[in-house]
Amino acid sequence: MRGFGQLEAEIMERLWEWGRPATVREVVDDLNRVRPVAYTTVTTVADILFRKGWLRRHKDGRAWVYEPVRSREAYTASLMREVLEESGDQQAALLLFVEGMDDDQARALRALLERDGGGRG
Amino acid sequence: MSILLLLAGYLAAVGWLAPRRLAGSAWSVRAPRSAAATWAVLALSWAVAAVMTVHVLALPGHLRARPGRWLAPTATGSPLEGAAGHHHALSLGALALAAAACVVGAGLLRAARARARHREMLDVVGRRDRARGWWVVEDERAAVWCLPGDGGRVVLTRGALERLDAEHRSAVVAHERAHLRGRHHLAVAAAKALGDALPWLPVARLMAHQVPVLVEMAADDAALRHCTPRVLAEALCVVAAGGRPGGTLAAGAHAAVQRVRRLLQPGGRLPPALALPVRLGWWAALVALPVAPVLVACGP
Repeated sequence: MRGFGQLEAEIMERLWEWGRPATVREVVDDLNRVRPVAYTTVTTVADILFRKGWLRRHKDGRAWVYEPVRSREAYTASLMREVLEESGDQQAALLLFVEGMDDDQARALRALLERDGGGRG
Repeated sequence: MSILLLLAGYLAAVGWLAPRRLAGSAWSVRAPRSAAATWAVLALSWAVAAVMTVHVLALPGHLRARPGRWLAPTATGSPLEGAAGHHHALSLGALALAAAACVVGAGLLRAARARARHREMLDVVGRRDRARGWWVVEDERAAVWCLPGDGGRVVLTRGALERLDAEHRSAVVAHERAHLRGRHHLAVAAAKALGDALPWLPVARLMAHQVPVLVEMAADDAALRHCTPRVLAEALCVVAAGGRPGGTLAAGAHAAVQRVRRLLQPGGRLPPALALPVRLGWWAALVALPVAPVLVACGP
C-alpha cells in the first residue's frame, strides 16, 4: 500500500483548480462524482496535508476551510530545483539521465553525433 | 620493519597511485561495471591494509619474521605468535568495518530521506501515466530522472516528452529502468558517503566522482538491449540541450561527452567475446588484492 498519495493529489488538484478556500464537504462531494470516497477519509488526508504544510486552514463555523499554501507551479519549481541543482543529498537520492548543458556544450555534443553520420541509426 | 614498509607501499599503491590511474583510464569507460567493482575493491583493500598497519604497529610481535617467511617455514619453527594476535587483528578489522558501516549507513539514510521527500512532492505535483509506467512533471525544461525505492519511478518533464520521439523515449526509459533494477542508487550513495568522510584520500574522493558516471554508462549499456546506440546517443543530446545547466557544469558535460563517444565509437564498449578471459583474470586479481595485506601481516 502506497499510503494516501493518490487521494492527496486529488484533493490538492481540486483546491488548486478552484482557486479558493473550500471545506472537506465540498471536496468530498466533488470526489464522489468520480468515485465513492468516505468523508472521514478525506478529513484524515486533509489533516495530513495540513500537517505536511501543503494546506492551511481556518475554522468557519464548525467546519475547517482549507486552501493550498503555495501554487502548483511553486511546488513544481521547488521539485525541479531539487532535480537540477543536485545539491548534496539530492545527488545521492536521484539518478539524473543527463545534466543540462549550455549552448556551446550542446553544440559540441551534437557535433559528435554528426561526425558519426547516422550510419547505424 | 619490512612488514611495515610493505604495508606502507601497499597503502600508497591502492590509496593514491591506482585510483589516479583508474580515474583516467580508457578501459574504465569501456567496462564501467568492472571499473565500479574495482573502485570498491581498491577502497576495501586500502581499509584492510590500514587496519593491518595499525595491527602491526600495536602488536609488533605477531609475526616476527620477514614477510613471506611463512611460505617457507624453517626448522626453527613457526614465526607466528598464535591465536591472540589473530584476535587482535580481527577486532581491529571489526572496528574499522563498524566505522565504515556507520558512514555508509548514514549516507544511505540521508539519501532515503531525500527520496521520501521527493516522492511525497511528486505524488502531488506529478502526474502518473499508468499506461506507459512513468511520471510527468509540468516543466518546459527537458529532464529525465529516476526515483529509486517504493517500487521505483521514472520521471520525465513535459519538456523532455515534447522533445523526444517514441523511439528516444523508450531508450531513455530503458536506461532509467536499468538504474532501478541494478539498485545503482545504493552504489552512488555509498561512494559519496565515503568520499565525503575521507576527502583527503584519493581512493575515496575519486571513487565518489567516478561511480556516479560509471553507473550512468552501465545503464546506457543495459538500455542497448532495447535500442540502438545511436538512438540512445541522440536522446542524450536532446535532453542535455533541452535542460538547464546544473551546478556541476563542467564535470557533467564531460561525462555526457564520454558517454556519447563510447556509444558511437566502434570499440567504445568492450567487445564481450574478446574480453572474457581478460575479465576472469581481472576478477581473480580483485579477490586477491584485499587478502594480500592480511597475509603479509598475519600469515596464512
